[in-house]
Amino acid sequence: MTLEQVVPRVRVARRPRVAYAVGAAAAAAWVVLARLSIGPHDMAGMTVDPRTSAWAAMWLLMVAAMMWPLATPMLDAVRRSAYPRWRGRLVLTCLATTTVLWLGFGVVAASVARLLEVPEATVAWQVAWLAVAIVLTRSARRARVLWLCLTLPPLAPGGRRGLVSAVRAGLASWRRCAVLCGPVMTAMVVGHGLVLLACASLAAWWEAAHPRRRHDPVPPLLLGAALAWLVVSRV
Amino acid sequence: MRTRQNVAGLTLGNAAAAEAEAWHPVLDTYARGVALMRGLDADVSPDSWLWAANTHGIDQLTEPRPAWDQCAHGSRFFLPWHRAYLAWFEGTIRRLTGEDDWGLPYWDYSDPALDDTRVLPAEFAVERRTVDGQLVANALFVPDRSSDPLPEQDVDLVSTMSETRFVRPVPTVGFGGADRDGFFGDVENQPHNFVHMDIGGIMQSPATAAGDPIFWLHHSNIDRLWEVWRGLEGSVALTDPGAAPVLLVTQWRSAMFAFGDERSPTTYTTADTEDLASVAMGYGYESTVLPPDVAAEVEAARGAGDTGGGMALDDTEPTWDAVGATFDLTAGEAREVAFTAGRRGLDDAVPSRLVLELAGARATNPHAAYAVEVRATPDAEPHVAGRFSTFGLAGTPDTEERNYLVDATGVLPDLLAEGWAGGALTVRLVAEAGRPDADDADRSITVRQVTVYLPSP
Repeated sequence: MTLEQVVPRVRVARRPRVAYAVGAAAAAAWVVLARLSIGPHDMAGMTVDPRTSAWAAMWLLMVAAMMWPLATPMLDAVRRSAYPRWRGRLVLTCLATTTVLWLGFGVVAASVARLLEVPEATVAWQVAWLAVAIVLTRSARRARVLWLCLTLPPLAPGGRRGLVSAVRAGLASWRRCAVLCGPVMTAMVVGHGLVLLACASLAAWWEAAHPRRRHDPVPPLLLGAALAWLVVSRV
Repeated sequence: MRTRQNVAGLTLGNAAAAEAEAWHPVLDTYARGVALMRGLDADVSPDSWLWAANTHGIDQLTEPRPAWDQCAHGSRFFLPWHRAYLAWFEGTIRRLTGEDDWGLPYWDYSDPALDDTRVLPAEFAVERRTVDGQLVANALFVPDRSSDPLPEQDVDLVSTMSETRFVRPVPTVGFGGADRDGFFGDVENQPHNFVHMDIGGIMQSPATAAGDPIFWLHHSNIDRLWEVWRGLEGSVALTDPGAAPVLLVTQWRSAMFAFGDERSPTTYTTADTEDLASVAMGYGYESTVLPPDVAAEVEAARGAGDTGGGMALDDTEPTWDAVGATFDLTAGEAREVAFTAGRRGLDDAVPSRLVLELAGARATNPHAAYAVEVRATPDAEPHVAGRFSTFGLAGTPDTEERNYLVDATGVLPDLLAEGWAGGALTVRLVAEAGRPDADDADRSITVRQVTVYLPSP
């Protein structure tokens, strides 16, 4: 029997179960977002208000759609490290941690926008932060942080320590995602049209799958496309 | 194609000759190249010795630069990154010396039939050498290295080369790494980490190791061992069909490594590193076969379950259950780890495997190596389940941690013979006996978490 015949029988490359669940949840979030889709200027003139439940709901949907897929490898690691009866709890704790951190990030960024009286769907705000994101994709230091963030802290298999370590893993994952997507998410606190959200998500996912690719042209091109769409749609 | 030669065939063999006689041209060129690099200023020249060393790691007092402190330890990129790093370094030596055909030698310390190959080559051990009749400083000499031969068990290749996969999912590891960063692959653990600690001096820390000229010959050998492993029948590379999840393959194929001038670096892809005949590499090794005795043992180990095609059909990844854990274990302390989850007893079926994960190891002054002992009960006889070297713990920030995976399957028969019924396992870390620092009470290590894994029923 040749190696080519044998290797396909090896079962290591199975897709982690947690990836299916998170992928399904993210897909559902995309469907809802698509149905609720608003153009970048539909709410022009309204001030951003992170205290409203509508803003929070939209923001959480966006986090689920964009960020949960990025958390999948970490969630799978937490699941595999856990006692069988603790797997669900620890995975949910970890996911909740990243989600809450992103919610906090959104509230802070939106509060700053509100303080500055930035109206919803302000293109200048979005364009400026997208430009920052594009510039940062060329940063060697940022690339380095992304490699280092790939290492997870020890993951306790259950109990109080398990919950604490799941929170720590969520924090580590969020830190990596914040480096990847912080400026883009800041751009989106005043509005997140579907094109912008799709381009930003694809850029982040691509970068997570190619963490050691030097001067990768794909993320800045995707972000540039979103930026161009924002400008053109305003005209 | 340049040929990287075994230093055993180049060395004069003893200190007196190395100090007084002319060296083999390959080692002479290396010494001249290192001396030229040492004469360059790291602040301005990426060709300088300090730049090359700092590319691997920097101490806590050195101002970081994007091109520095890159080394990919505890990662599945360990082998390709170091292969590219060596190619870049080799190019620097060639350019500075004008020796276009020069190839970095390798130090093969793993032939059990040749004891003297475990001793540091004489050209690296003398402070001065004779050039054109004059005694001059030897650029290959670094103080504080150990003069002892490398312990035979530290350079044994059977276990490492018996591994058929390049990468495996945690809590197991492959030849080159695991599916998560932070775990040493088999070849990185042994011989790589052990040899670093055995040589001593600045080789004991990734922050300083590349400042020792022997570092490059040690890594040339590690690089050669990757090539030896690739040539063994049944070895499964990360990119082979079905060998790793798509995300890992994508990350592997898209990786690039950059060295030298930050504005116009020399870059390598993983595809470059997987083909020694590529333009970017352009070298081969004098030998890529194992010593006959080692080859026979590796073949026998790989052949377990073999169907005749050179690959075991039952080489499928089991799923694992964490069954017990303990926390903050200090070396010397025996701790009974109760199996508080999953299959606690062995009433239903005897496990086929047993793995221990030691996560979050931390130390400022560790012993060079630790043995991991397990016992069926606290009073039972200890069995050495595995061992690890502490390379990377000394000389790094207090917050830096290391993770070790110990496959204790080999001692399962002993445990079962003593009547082990599951439910608990006693674990202890002990400084490995027979080493110079074994009785040093001022050295220790703490592991934040020890987890016991059994295959899922």
